Amino acid sequence: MINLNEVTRAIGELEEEKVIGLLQEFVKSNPTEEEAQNVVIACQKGMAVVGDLFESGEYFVGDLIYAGELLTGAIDILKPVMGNDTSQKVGSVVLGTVHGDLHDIGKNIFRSMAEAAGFEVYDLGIDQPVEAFIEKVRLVKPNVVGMSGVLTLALESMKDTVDGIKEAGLREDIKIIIGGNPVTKEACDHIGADGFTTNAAEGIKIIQGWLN
Amino acid sequence: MNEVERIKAERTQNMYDVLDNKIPKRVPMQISLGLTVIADYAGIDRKEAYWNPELLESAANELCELIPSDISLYGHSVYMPYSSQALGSQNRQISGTGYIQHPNTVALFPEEYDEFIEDPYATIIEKCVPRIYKNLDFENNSVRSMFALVQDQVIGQKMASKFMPMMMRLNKKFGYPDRELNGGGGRVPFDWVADQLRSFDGICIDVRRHRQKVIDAMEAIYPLCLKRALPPDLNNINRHAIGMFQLHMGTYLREKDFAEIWFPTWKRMLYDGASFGQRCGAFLEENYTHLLDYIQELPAGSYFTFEYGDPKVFKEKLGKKFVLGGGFPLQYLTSCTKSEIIDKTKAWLDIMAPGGQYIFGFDKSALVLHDVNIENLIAVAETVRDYGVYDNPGTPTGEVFNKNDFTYSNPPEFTSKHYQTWDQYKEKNPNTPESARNLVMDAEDFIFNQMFNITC
Repeated sequence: MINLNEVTRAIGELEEEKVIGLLQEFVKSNPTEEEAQNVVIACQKGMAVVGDLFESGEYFVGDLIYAGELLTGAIDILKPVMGNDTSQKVGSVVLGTVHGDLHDIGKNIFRSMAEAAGFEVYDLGIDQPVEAFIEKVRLVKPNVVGMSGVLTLALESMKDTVDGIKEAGLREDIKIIIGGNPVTKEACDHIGADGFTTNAAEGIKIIQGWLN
Repeated sequence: MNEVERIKAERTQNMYDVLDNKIPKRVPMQISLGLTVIADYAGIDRKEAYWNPELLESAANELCELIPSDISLYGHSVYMPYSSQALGSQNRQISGTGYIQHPNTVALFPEEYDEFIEDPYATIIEKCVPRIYKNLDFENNSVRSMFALVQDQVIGQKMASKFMPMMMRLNKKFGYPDRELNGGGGRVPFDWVADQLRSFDGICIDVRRHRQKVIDAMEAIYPLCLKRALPPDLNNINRHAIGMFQLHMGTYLREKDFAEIWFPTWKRMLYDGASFGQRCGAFLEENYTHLLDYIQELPAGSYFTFEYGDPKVFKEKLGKKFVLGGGFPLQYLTSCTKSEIIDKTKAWLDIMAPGGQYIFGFDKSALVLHDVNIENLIAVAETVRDYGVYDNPGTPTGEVFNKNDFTYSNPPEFTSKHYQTWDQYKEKNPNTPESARNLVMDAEDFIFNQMFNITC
């Protein structure tokens, strides 16, 4: 029987070989789908530990990236025993880098951590026009829209996007979070977003708080 | 000497004093605005301005009149679309809003570390360059590659003939110092591999999964990086010419990785350069507060600008051994009133100016006019000019840089199957006199530098 606490600990401490060993052995034991889902939850808890260690300054951005890679590998090992009954999603996020900005590293870290926290993430990609956000929001009716950008010019694009969502009559149904190097409280107020962060782990806590 | 010449001489002297361990007459300032900001100010489309920078001359003149910086207000652009588009670049692209930037790209895969370590230059030319530049697939499409390289050079020369005379006119009219303070620059080996070859996320994973290979790769590319960072004539190095390093990945790594992988080759490069008398500097991008003890190990007299962190801590820990610069939050330009920003500038100078060894500048560059309130920028520059005055100019200060404190580490000489040495050239062309050596090798090095520059 797999030790779920050990899985959480090994993910939290980024011990890749240990994680792979534990999960491969687990898969060989022909587990039920429910047991597999419990292991997925243990992995997600491990990612939450990674987020906490990042927030406390013990882990750095490079560690978050590695953790995302580690989790993807873990889920790949578990897929054959997870069945079709994918775990209940806690919410959904439409995510993208706003128009004029071609950066995606921060966005991808946020995506990987949001997925690990149980969110369904619709990633639009980089340099996304206002219409792309509106179209996707209309289609999938997410709980949250996440806008990312590294350059200061992204702030105006974020404002354009929030204004566009408002004009399309979709603003009331969603929460909006902005993230990236240039965002600040002042920028958040100016843009009309509900939250902001320069820290992906904190961003996950913000959107979890909204859904709770 | 007319008034403009006097201003130029004073500005140059202030800068020299800072670099020569003397208190200057006043805090020098390096404030400039990039091509896209000036285009916005001029009301000219950014995309148009990249191709026709001469259209910005009138606006640049106006800004130079308004803002009393000690360097030219016209900051041009590091990257230009004519070049990236001629070469079919994937890593330098212009967005719809007209700003050229660097998307995350991968040009080297983890399974290729061994061949990269064996001959990095060859791997870069044969594999990495074709992946980043779709018009430079030398082996499979040599015709397009040749045309692309020539097109890049031809447009580059024409472009230089557009903006260089304009910059020289601005320098002459406003009395800006010559560019002799600019000593080129280099890349930290780790950052080079990370930024353009393995990608930001790829290298973060490699540091854990392929740690020894990453370390070996740093050693393998050390001779290339050193060759690029040092000036061609090692016997004639200008003490005031600072070779600037563009840092990137250091603060995104945990300290163990920084100390064991990122830092050692950079420190060695600075020491090797210092042994020839080359002074270096760097923009400490992001927040280096937790890494300042490492920075303290670097050669005295280096020049470090910084982005985030408590200026008091930077001044206290680094201010005696090094020349500091930058750090003043650009964001104040748009978030403060004029009187607030004047107060903040004075408070900043109260921290950074005492003891000299400081050149005023912002923590980051403005990208578009929206980042700048021109009225506030004028107020900042005027405050630095008027408030940043010393009452003890000429007083000795700080630790003195001395090249004799450093010993060259004697790294292996750079070799590659794609780099033709003078001996190899002579063997193929035995009737060439020795006097042709510099011409031939300068051409070989021109290609080396171009391959380095487009992948770094």
